[in-house]
Amino acid sequence: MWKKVCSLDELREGEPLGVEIDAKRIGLFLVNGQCHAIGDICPHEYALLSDGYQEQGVVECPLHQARFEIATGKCLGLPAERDVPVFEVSVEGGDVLVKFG
Amino acid sequence: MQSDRYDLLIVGAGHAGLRAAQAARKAACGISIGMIGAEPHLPYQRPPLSKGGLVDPQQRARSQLAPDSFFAEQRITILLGTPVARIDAAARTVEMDSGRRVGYGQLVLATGSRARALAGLEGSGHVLRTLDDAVAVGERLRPGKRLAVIGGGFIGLELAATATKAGCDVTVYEGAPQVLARLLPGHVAEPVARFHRERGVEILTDCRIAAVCPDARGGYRIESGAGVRRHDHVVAGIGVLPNTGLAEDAGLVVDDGILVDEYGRTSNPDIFAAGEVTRHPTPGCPVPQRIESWQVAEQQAACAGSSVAGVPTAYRQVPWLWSDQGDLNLQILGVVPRMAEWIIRGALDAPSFCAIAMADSAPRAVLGFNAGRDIAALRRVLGDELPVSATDLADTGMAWRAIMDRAGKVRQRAAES
Repeated sequence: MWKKVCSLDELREGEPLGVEIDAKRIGLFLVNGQCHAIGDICPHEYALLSDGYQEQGVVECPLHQARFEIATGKCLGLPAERDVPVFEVSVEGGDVLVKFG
Repeated sequence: MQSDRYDLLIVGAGHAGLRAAQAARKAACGISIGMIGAEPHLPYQRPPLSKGGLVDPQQRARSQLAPDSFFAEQRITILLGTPVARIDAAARTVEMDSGRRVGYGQLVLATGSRARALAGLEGSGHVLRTLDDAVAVGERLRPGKRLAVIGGGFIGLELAATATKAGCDVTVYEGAPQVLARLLPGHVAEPVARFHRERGVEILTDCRIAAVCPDARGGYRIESGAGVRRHDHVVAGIGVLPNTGLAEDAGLVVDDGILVDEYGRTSNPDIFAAGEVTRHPTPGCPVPQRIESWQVAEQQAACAGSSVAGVPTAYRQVPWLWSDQGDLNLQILGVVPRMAEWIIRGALDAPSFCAIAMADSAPRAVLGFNAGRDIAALRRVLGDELPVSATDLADTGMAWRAIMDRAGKVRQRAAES
């Protein structure tokens, strides 16, 4: 099921946005103009990846520097050892929609 | 141990010993690798032990770094609960307390540090360093108990936060006029003290301990500048000492840590050292540093392990450490210079700020107070020695990208002229 999570103009490259939809934390990122959504909670210890530092297609957790590839959710560096989920994204008329379930 | 000789023998089965072993195995598939650990536990990491792992056995169990099956799979023989008595560098053997000898082709010392004990309180549960310490301290953190923490450094404040959350009445005794006195100037450390006080921790600064004695009720009596007080338990967080005894006996150059180069090589070509027992070359510092951090156990040790096994790998990371104190995340980047001018990005009374230590008009070290994103940006600034200006750093209206772009242009112009 698709849900609107934010407007496209709320997103800036390097300035991710964290949202909470139905008790799910989603991090929204712009990478080369492309919109991506990943699970926002670092699997290492509780921190929001959308509070982290984005460099091109990689986000670094603000707490302990675990790194994740934004397009795939793949964990690239310790101390985290698990990937984060990725969500399908679609942009329609300036709205960012994310597919849940 | 099945064998009496290993191509590579690692003394120390902690975080650094494991990372050295893993990197060595990756670099050299065919060599025999042995590890000897003094503690009875498989390698574990320490960060959880002063936080959730102190009060929650499940979180404590997750501190183990590699599953039990790992060692057989990787053909790494591991011997636990076996302190090493001495190294005979000429004969290339180590001798254990039991008298048994094991030979080596090359040796890695990953002996770590030990907590300094408070005079008169040498028993278990009075420092927080090992897994066993965490069990012993954790058992005493019951609601309503009065806990004295000696030392307002990272470990003391982490413990104070965890114990307060567990319902204890916590008093921190600090001899200096402020917390985190080894690293930070008073005005930069003040928000940290405020954070803890607002959550009910009593912090006594300028408060020297005169005596700590057990009392008749199973607790402790502390005589200090604040008078005489009674506590149910006392834990000291007054620093660590590097375990350099074996290295000294083996004739290695030791000076507050085993001196190594960026590949982890000691003064003996057969012997490398890994983790926080080392003093290693450090970017931005004229002299090698001994740094007590997860990063050193994780990354310097991997470089040493890879290098000893024939794939030279230099460790050149900007020093970085974190301290989670309850919901407060502190991070320190770089090595704080003795003389620094501190500039604040943000405000000291805000929920989040950065304090940046400038020396010779360049940033040398940073405290991030709930400021992980800034720390990530500043790691790049420090790592690349970007010529950023103090004015830009203090201007929160300027995004990191803009600060770094401007510094890049400054560097380019300097190169052209």
